[in-house]
Amino acid sequence: MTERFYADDEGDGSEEEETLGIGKFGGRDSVIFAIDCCREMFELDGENSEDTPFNRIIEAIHDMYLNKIITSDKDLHGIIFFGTKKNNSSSDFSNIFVWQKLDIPSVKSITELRDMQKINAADFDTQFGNESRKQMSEVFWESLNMLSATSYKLAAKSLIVFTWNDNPHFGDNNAKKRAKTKAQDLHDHDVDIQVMSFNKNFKYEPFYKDIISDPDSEDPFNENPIDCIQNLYSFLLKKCTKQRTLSRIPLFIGDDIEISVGVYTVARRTTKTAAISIDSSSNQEAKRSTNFIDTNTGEILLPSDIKLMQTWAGKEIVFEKEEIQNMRKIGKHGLHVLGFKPRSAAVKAWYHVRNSQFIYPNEERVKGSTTLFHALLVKCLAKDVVAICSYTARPNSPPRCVALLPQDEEINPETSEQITPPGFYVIFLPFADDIREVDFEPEQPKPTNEQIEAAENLVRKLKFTYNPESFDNPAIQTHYKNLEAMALEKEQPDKIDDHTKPDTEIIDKKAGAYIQAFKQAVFPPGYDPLKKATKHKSSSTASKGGKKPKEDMVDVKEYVSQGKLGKLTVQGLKEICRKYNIKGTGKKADIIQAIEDHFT
Amino acid sequence: MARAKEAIVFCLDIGLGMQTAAPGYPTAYDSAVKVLSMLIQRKIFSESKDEVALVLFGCEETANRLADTDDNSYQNVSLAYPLGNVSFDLLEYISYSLKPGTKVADFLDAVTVSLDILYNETKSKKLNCRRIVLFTNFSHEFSNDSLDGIIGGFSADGMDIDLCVIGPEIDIETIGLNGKDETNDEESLKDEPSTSTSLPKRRKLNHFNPSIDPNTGKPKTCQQMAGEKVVTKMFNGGVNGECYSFSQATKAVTGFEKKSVRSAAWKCHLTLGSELAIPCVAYAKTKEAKLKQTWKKCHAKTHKTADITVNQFYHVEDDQHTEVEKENIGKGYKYGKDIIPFSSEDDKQMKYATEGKSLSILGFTDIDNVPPNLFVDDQALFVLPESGDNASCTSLSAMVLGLQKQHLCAIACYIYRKGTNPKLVALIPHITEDNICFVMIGLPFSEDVRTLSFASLKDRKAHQPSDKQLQVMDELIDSMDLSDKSNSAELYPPEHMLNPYFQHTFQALYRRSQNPNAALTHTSDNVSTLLKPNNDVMERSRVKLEHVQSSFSLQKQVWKKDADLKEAWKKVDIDQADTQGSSSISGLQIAQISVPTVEKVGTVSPDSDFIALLSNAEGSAIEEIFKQLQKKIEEFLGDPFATRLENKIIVSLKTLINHAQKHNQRDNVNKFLHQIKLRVLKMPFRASFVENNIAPIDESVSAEHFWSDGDRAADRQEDEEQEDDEQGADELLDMMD
Repeated sequence: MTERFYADDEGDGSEEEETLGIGKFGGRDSVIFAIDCCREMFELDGENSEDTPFNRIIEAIHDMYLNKIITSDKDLHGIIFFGTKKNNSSSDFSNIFVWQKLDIPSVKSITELRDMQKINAADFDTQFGNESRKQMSEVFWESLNMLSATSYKLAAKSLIVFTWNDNPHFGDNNAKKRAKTKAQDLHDHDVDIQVMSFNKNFKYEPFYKDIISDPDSEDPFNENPIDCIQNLYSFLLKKCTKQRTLSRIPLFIGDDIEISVGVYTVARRTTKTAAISIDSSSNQEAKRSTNFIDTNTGEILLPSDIKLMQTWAGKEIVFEKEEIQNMRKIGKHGLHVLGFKPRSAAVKAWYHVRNSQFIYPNEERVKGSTTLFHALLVKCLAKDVVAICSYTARPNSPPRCVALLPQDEEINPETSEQITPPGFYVIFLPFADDIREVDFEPEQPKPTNEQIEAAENLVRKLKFTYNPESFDNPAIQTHYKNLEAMALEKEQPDKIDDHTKPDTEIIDKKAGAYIQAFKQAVFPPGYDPLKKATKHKSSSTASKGGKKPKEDMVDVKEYVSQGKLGKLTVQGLKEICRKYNIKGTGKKADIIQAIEDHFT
Repeated sequence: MARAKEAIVFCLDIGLGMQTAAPGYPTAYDSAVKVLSMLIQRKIFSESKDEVALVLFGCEETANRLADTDDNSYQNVSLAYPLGNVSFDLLEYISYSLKPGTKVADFLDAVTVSLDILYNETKSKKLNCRRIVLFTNFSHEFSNDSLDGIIGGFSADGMDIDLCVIGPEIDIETIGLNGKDETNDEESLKDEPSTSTSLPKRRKLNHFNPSIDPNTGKPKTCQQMAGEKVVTKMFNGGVNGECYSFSQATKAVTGFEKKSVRSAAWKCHLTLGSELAIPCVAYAKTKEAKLKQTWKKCHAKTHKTADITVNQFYHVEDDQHTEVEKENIGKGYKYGKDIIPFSSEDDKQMKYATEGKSLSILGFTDIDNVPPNLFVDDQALFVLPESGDNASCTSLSAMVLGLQKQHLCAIACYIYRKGTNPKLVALIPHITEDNICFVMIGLPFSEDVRTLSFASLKDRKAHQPSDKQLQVMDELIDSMDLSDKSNSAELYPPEHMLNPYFQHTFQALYRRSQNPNAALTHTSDNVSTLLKPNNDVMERSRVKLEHVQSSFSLQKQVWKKDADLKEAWKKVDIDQADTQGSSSISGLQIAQISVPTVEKVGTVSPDSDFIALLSNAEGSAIEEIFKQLQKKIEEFLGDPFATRLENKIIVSLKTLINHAQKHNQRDNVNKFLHQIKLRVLKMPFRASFVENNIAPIDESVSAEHFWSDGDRAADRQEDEEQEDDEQGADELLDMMD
């Protein structure tokens, strides 16, 4: 009966979409980091004198791994050092050391990164040696070997090179040519190459312009490596989290106009990875399997021996599994524009029923999609309208009504990074079935202008710029810190920064006076909101006291002898069962029976 | 919280006057029956505990308590279904057994009979609401002598009975109807919320000429207008209720159900700092509805759930699939690659602890920082002041209005109850004519947000729409306007759109319950039209649509279903001779193949690249070129689609062997063949390698022998790698699931 708000076990529809998505590219994302280990990488630069470029890179990768373990622990990463004396590459390339093989993050790889974070040039030399000669072609070659040697199926592949010198093969045209050829090889294998440097004078022109991925590609990052690198962690996260298409779907306007768009996830609740079962003797994963057995014959039932049913108004109604799936097929697959409405009238905060999605055109299925999409976007923005559509996300999913909310591209003028991409958000609209009546008090006292002003003064004091990036989920972080502590046999898990706990001290300090003024303006003298509520609570329990046995358990025997058990709630009855160790399950009548049996 | 329970008397006119209609229009009788069965259907499938009764009037027989005592009155009014829970029997009766009546009857008589039922049957029951739903088109005579008595009857004895009329469009001016219209345009009120007063609402349900009944296409008779006047009088005389027309069936249905789905109250204090606490209460306003029941598995033959026993067991992923006893099963979590054993006890002790329910404000931010695309979870709640607490109301309203004026909203931390994880929520000011409250919606944590970045559309010259294209798009958008205009109501209003999936499922359930063996038919019209383009809009925009179509060039590409670009690449790659396909992909290939100078051994045609390069090479370059081709072959072997590249591998190997002697690379090539042997043996290539006689040069082994004698070595290696392979396979299975 009780409704749960924001219950933790909310059904997540989008999860299903991600695994069932039509046209989804199977496979894992993979990234190789190739880090130049030349002298300059271990020197402190003027402004940021705390860490060397090498330390900063390792730290960023370390932080990214920790994030990856939470958000997408299937992605593969590898780390190559180049310009080392030691080498261990598969093809005997000198000056290349494969420090971490292409794999999913593990306790070991994270520990290694942590230990490497503060390393200095001398220690590094002892471990790996230093050699200024290096062949970029071999770095590329080795990366390709690593990518092709893995047994996993790969979806997106990237190589991110951190270097210092922007012209490593100055005067050696052969070496240049070889590097170019190898880089082309990587491109042929759909490997995206990015090159960045902490060197302020770094230019792409001398050498790397022929190496990096096509600047005309759909990737908006191609200039300003230094700027991007300012916040290396978030930059890496962006680079290494490929936006997966949930599906590619047609978008129809009228019956005859059809373009093609990709659908993307905007936000989705990250939950702890589900616990797995293990064989306690070997700590190996134990897979759970289920089969269905005929209760009477003991035979294993085949899927065709099983049907599905629901009981309504006393009638048992039985269907084949297929029939139930077909019930969902109502609309035609894709987005169908029904018309347009003003944005403010069609998209209201309280309409929210589901996480939004994002669409962006793709040319592969319908050529010309981008131009029409662009025109639609420009005009929806100009007119401040949204497109109302019926949306059937997959051929067998039930249709929803959605609003396409236009989003203009926004660029950070300082870093020229894209803040928001151009496209439409798919905002899900509720059906009448989803909307409920909420009763308001008929006569609400209206606040006076002074009272509103007091509120304004107060809220002005506590303004901040909300950004979802600045709030980690404390429950998830705690969980992973715990795991980390167990895995690394730490005595105590690391403390987390919990930003969901209000900092009352600061609030009181900054706005205390205004809070007092507000309270004086709105609360009548002597009003104590907390006191009243508790009073209210206790009075309500008093009135219902007879119904809810609390700590001082009601005299059960008396209830039994007077046949009054029926007056207790099921919860109350169950409490009695627990206390007296009575096996009471099933319907209320059954539980009452069980209790009565116990006492007579 | 217990669900609200209602008692409803459906009062249906089946008299002669309901059975006429202009050609092409359904009769009022048909429309009424359709709406009524929909209402009952939805009552069944919402597991409603409401009690309903059906009173017919205009029928042959007379069966009601009042007529029993007074032989001359209340004739042709009959209680067809006594007050009780809804059942399929009732639905069946309405759908199949009910026949149009042969008489006429006074609708006020029927209302009186209904009132009588509610009085007698529900006096002692605890109900949230009592209601009479009257279906009539007012085409029969009535006597309003006792109208005042009847009006009084709606509120006598402290029983408050609502009246709902479903009939022709009624033009009624009512004062103080209790309808709360959520759809009121909030925007226009936001600026001066305090000046809004409750003006008498004009309940006009149609925008057509009120003297023509749009349901039947016939002009209204004087009789009908007189009937409507009586209803108007009743509403003005203090009876609560609403009117719907037959054509607004869905509106009627939703208007109905809103009252029955209520949310549980979540009481808490909205806190700010250590000093401010405002008592408040939250209710879910919008929440994605789910079917009330889940599907249970049952035995196909007996249709009994008990005949299926679910058997769960655990096994380790080894060769024997060794089963693990349940008592040996422990709990663990994956941490990247590693498994960390973690008991439930550990979990309980170490997990993030929350102390109890709370709603605490962290700060305030510009409303534009929380756009609707950021919202997560499946619901939006209203946060209201605690009822009956004026101080709470004043403070909450002042806060809402203050934020509204500053264009701000609150960011708060929300804990549902002790032990549940905290969530971040936005508290957004919500101000309507009558109400001031917060809308509370979930916001994502940093772990939840996906970064999206796409190429700018402005910079891509090829995709710039021309001025003309923009112009036709502009006109199209205007022509497809769905908003509330002077001549038509807003189309697709969420408040009145039924979820077609639910309707469809209800229909299927109902049909199957009627006829368990019949196959299901496809969607009925009234379901499929719920989300179809509106005919008027399409007609209006037809010309503009054509303009758009002719102004933009759109070409559908030949696209194999579910194949991704890379696979298409590989396919073309393999059958490179076949460049006939007109797709852009093959076009790309041609361009690549026809590059005049070859600089390296590529992936597309490694053998001919190899030969081309060799023809100009000298000295150490030759060795490099051999190396290049070898490297390519190794890559092909390592490719996840290696089996598809079989031809290419064989051709490359043959080319390599054939050129080895001439360029003095025999040893090099032989060494290479030995090198790749183990890998090849793990793949299904052996037969074709033997067939093509691929073997080391001048070593006295036949191809057949060479590709087999390493079995044992291969086995050993396979053992070592099995774990990885299986992981890969698992992964693949997971993806197919």
